[in-house]
This record gives sequence, structure tokens and C-alpha cells, in this order.
Amino acid sequence: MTPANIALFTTALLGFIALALAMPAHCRHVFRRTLPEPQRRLLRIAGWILLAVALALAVWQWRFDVGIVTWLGWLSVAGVALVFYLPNWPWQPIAQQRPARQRKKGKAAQDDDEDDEGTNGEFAPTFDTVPRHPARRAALLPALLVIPLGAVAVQLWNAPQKPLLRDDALRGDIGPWSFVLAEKDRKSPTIEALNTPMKAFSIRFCESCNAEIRMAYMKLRKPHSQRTAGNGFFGRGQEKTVEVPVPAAATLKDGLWLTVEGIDGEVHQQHFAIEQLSPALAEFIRKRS
Amino acid sequence: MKTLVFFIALAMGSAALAHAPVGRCSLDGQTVNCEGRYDDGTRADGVTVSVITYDGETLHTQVLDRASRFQFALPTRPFYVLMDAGPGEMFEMDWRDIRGMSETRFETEKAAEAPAYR
Repeated sequence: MTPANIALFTTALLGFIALALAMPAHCRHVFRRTLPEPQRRLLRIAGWILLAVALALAVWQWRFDVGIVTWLGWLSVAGVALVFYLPNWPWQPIAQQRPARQRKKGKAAQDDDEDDEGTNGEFAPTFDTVPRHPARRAALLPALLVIPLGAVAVQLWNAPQKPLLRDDALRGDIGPWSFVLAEKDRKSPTIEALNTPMKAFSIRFCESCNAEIRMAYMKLRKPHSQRTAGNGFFGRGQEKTVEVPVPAAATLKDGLWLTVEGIDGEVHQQHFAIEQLSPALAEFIRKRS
Repeated sequence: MKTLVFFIALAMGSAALAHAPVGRCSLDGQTVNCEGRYDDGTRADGVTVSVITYDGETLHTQVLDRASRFQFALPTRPFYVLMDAGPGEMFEMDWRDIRGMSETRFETEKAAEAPAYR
């Protein structure tokens, strides 16, 4: 994740540098001369492309929601870094000490239009106060808002449903407690270290039950004792998750076993058919054997 | 500064997640060689490992060495290897899961089924 952050910051910074050099004032500040218009136009295009590349990189790495926030964060960091660095640029033009001009009556307005230098002899930037294509800009602004909002809406639409809200979530009782149990996703187990397949499950007990439960465990194969009840369900809030390793010689007959230990020391255990709780895991075991 | 702290926290977030122990064993003659890890691939040295028979007798108990490995002599009865990394963090390998082990090795022993636990 850190290389992605570095790449994002670097791309954003290069984009801002290109945009700065495309402006006559900053260009003179850096090169002591103004670049020809075609080169400045190229820099302007390159700057915007680099910022767009940074956005694409952020969305590719963190998807739209977190990606846009991350992109804006790194844009801020890159922009502030550039703003504070430029005044310390060692090869900037030497400011000529000239006496302040006396404004002549009637010529003041003309001076404002023609001069791009300030009265203290330093270069002052010129601004386009009137946009060249006001209608196009007016259309562009809403589009800039609609595009990210539309993308977030599409992402929300395609987001996987919460496991415990799916139709295949299993509802039941174990001891005095009711629960909802489901595989976290409907995919095959993920392969972790030492080529170990792991399958994740989510559980939620009734709200009043949580205060009475010390720990819930899940295991593939019947536990030999309470010590081997399996991995524990962990997580914040009502919904807890467990990663269950799939043994090398596991068969469908082994089944999945839920063990729940109450704070009073009572232990309850329940067996589930693998096909019932996770067809994807059943298929994985069937194929492997 | 707040932005910087936020992004550092974002980058380091995954490091704070818990990891489950995993392991694998192979039979070499009359010795079982095992290796343990956490599921993110980090070494699990120091984790307690026990070799336990189906009737509950503990034959060996030791900790994973610096290379995250351990070995023991092949028992004569059906057994399982238990890596215990703390409450709710364990990994169990049955003798059938060990590479190179014949599925019929303990057939003549009339291996008892795992006792029902409540």
C-alpha cells in the first residue's frame, strides 16, 4: 500500500509542477524566462493528465470511495509542498530594486491592462478574469460533480450484500441463544501461508445473547475437546468473523462445527453440513479429493 | 499534519489485523517434520505445539523453534498435532493430513472415533 501512496504523491506533485510551469509568472520564476505558448500548452495538458493518472491510480488501488479521498489528500500535500518550496527556489530571478511608480491620472487604467509587473518591480501574474468559453465551463462544473457521484452510485449498486443479510444466511439456535451464520463470501477458500486454504464465516447472535457468551468457535471436523474447538469469532460490534483452515485430507463428511461457550462455563456444540453452509467450500473439497 | 497522520494510519492499518496459525507436516521414515506459520506468512516461533492421541493423552509438547519448525517420532496410535497460539487461535493437523502418511496406517489399531464432545 505504501508504494501506491508514494506513486500517488509523486504523480500529483509532477502534475502540479507541470501546471505551474505552464503559467508565465511561475515559469519566469523557475527558468528566468517565459516558455513559448505551444510548450506551455503541452505542460498544461501534461499537468492535467498527470493529475488524472493520479486519480486513476488511487481509484484502482482503493476503489472510488476511499480512492477519491486519498487522491484529494495527496493533492493537498503535493500542492502545499510546492507552494512552500517555490519561494525558496535558488535560481529565481533577482528582483530589481526600482522606485515605486507615480500613477498618472487617466493612465492608471491603461497601466493596469498593459503591465504585468507590480509596482515594486517584481513580476505579478496576470489573470483571465473572463472565461473564454463561459457556456462550456458552466456545463463542465456540474459534469465534474455528476461523474464521481455516478461512479460511487455504480459502486454501491455492485457492492456485495452483507453476508448475514443474504438469503442463504442460516438462522438457528444453539443452547439458549439464537444466531445468524453465513459464509463471508460465496467464493472458494483463499490460499494462505504454507498453501493452507482458509474460509471465512460471519456470525451474529441475538442482541441480549452477547452478554452471556464468552466465545464462539468454528472448525472443520469434529473437535476432540474444548481446547480444539477451532478458531474464535472476532470483530467489533454485533457481527463477528472467523477464518477456518481447511485440513489437507478434509472430506465433506467432516462437517463444520460451531462451539459456543457461555460465561457460566456451559458449552454448546452444533454440526452443519458443509454443502449447506458453503457450497463453494464443498465444491473445493470435492474437486481436491 | 493531520492528513499525514491519517495516511500513515491508512498505510499501516493492515499490520494491526490478527492472524491465525497454520502448519503442515510430512513423514520422513519414522519422524514427522512440521513447519508452522501465521497465515500472513510470518514465523510463528514460540507457539506451543502438542501431539495428542485421540483418547486425550499428550505425547509431546514443545514450542516452534527459531525456524518455526518442530519434529517428533511417529506415534503408534492415531493422533493429531495441535498448534495453540492463544484463546481462539489454533491449528489442528490430524495424522491423515500429514504428507506421506498412508491412509490405512492405523487401521489395524482399530482407531477409535473422536469422542463426542457434548
